[in-house]
Amino acid sequence: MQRLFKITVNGKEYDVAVQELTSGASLMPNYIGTPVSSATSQVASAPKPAAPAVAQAGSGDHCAQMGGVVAGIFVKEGQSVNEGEKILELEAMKMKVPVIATASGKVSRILVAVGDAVTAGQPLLTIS
Amino acid sequence: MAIKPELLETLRQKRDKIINHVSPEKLEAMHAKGRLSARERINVLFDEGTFQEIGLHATHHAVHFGMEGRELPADGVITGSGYVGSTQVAAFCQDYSVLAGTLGKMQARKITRIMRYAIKTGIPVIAFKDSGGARIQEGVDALSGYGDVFYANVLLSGVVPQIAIILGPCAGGAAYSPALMDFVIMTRKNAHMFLTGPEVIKAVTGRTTTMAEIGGAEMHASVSGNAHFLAEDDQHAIAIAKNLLGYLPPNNTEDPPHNLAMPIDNQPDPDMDGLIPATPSEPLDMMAVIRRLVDNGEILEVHGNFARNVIVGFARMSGVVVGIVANQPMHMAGALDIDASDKVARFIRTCNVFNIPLVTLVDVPGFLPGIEQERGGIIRHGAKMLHAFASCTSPKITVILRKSYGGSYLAMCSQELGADMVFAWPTAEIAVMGAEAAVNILYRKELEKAEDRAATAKEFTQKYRDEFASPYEAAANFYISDVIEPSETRSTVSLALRKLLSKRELRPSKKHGNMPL
Repeated sequence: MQRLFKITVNGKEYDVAVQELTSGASLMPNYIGTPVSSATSQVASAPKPAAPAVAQAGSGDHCAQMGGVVAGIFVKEGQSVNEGEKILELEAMKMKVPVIATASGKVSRILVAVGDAVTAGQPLLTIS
Repeated sequence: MAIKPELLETLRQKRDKIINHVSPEKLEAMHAKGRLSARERINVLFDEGTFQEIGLHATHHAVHFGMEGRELPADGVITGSGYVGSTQVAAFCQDYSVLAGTLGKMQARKITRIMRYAIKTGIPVIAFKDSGGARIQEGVDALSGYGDVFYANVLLSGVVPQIAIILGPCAGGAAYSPALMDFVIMTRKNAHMFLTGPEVIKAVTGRTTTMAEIGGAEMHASVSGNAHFLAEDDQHAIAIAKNLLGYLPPNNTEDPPHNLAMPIDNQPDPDMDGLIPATPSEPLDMMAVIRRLVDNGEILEVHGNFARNVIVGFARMSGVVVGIVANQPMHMAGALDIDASDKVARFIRTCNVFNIPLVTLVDVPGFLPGIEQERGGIIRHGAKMLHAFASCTSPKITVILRKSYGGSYLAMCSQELGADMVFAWPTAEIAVMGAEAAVNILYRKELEKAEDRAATAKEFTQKYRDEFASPYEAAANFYISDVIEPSETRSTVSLALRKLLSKRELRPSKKHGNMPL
């Protein structure tokens, strides 16, 4: 019985195939992933990172509304910002797309740099 | 000979028992949660003394599972009609304090009865939903009852406005009734709407979830789009419904409540110029533009938290009720995507059935490129916008403020899609595609030969932009009615709207068009 898992380590996603070796388990399973030589080395098929890893957004995270390139960052880590302030700017579809602070607080971390390509939903910075 | 006093006494006792069945302690507990009793909801909605109830004494006939002889006041739903200002409105209000407001055959009969009254008299229906779902004790009768309500919802659809106010649970099949209505209002803390709850989802899929995640008001108002309005509490929800009624006609044969006594504003508004960013890549705040265009800066935004890259809502322009459809470049550059297409298409059709003129404000960079969009069916979703605009026979006025490219030019109600008037600002860029992309195709050979490709491309791009990405190319080809100054927008659109109120457009008769869904 082979089971497939998707695990995330340090923000990177891996597809993992796990072979269950209990009684009755066939030693010649139906390979779903890359075939390997023996059942015992089947524990993890060569982990390969999936598409650019996108960490789960937590509270205070400000995420990209849409895919684009980071065109400007207007705050520094540790800086206090007010709700409604423009904190970052993306460029997408030849338009500047502002990222606005949804709450007042301190910028606890900035996860991107100017020039980075980002995908929709990707956390850009955190305000706590 | 007068009527025997005991007969009157019996009636009074019966009425009192049904109407005042909620104990003061329970009432207090409800109020603490921002909830009103069913009777209070009816009283808040209607002008005092105008509500006439039908079926106060109606009751269930179930006998199984301990139901025999069980008294359920009004069978858990208050039905009737009354006045909201000068408009007669029909309402039904599920009463959660009666067996959790569950629906059985009699409750369904009461609901469909008042809905039939609404269609006969041509008046809006307001549905207060607060129910644990089907009354399981009544078995298939309860199921049949839901079917009767859905059928009535569909019968009324497009004839009289139907507004659902969700104030508590509305789960399982029950959720389809509000989904069949024109507008859904949900209260932030108490309303839930889902087909299968967290327990079933856990049992079937193994995934743990919460009520808020799958059925909360905030989720439905911002993610699923099932709710059009998010209310803070019961009072606020009823206030939103009343506000909405102020823009809607009582039925599809009448005009919306225009205020034609109001003079047409013919004054220029120079402050509009200040809202336009200096460069085309800076986003324009469309909401600020709308507030300058409409009477008193008032717009009742529909789906305000959902697909914020577009804005739809009701307003008045020099007294004429309009449905505003606009891109919002401050969010996702104002690009059109799947959710935005659904939001706009739905709104256009709502306006069309109720004879509400449309004012479309365009600043759109295009349809959003993306794998998820294509795989999610942006073609059929975007086609809903085309279908809705093209089949809409209400007056349609389009103002192109800045960008208007390619398919999105057409999807935002261009002349070809049936706009009666198209105005463009001098900042309008109307073209088949963006200058950079066009240059790459049109001048491919020249660019390949060029010594400094970047500089040559820039030169061609500027040339293309000057010649083609302006309103004058489109104006010269008579695809727009006129180029206007931004300060003239309110006066120009107000005047054109007033003139278009007599518009009549006949289409070939058919059962209905086959809108892509």
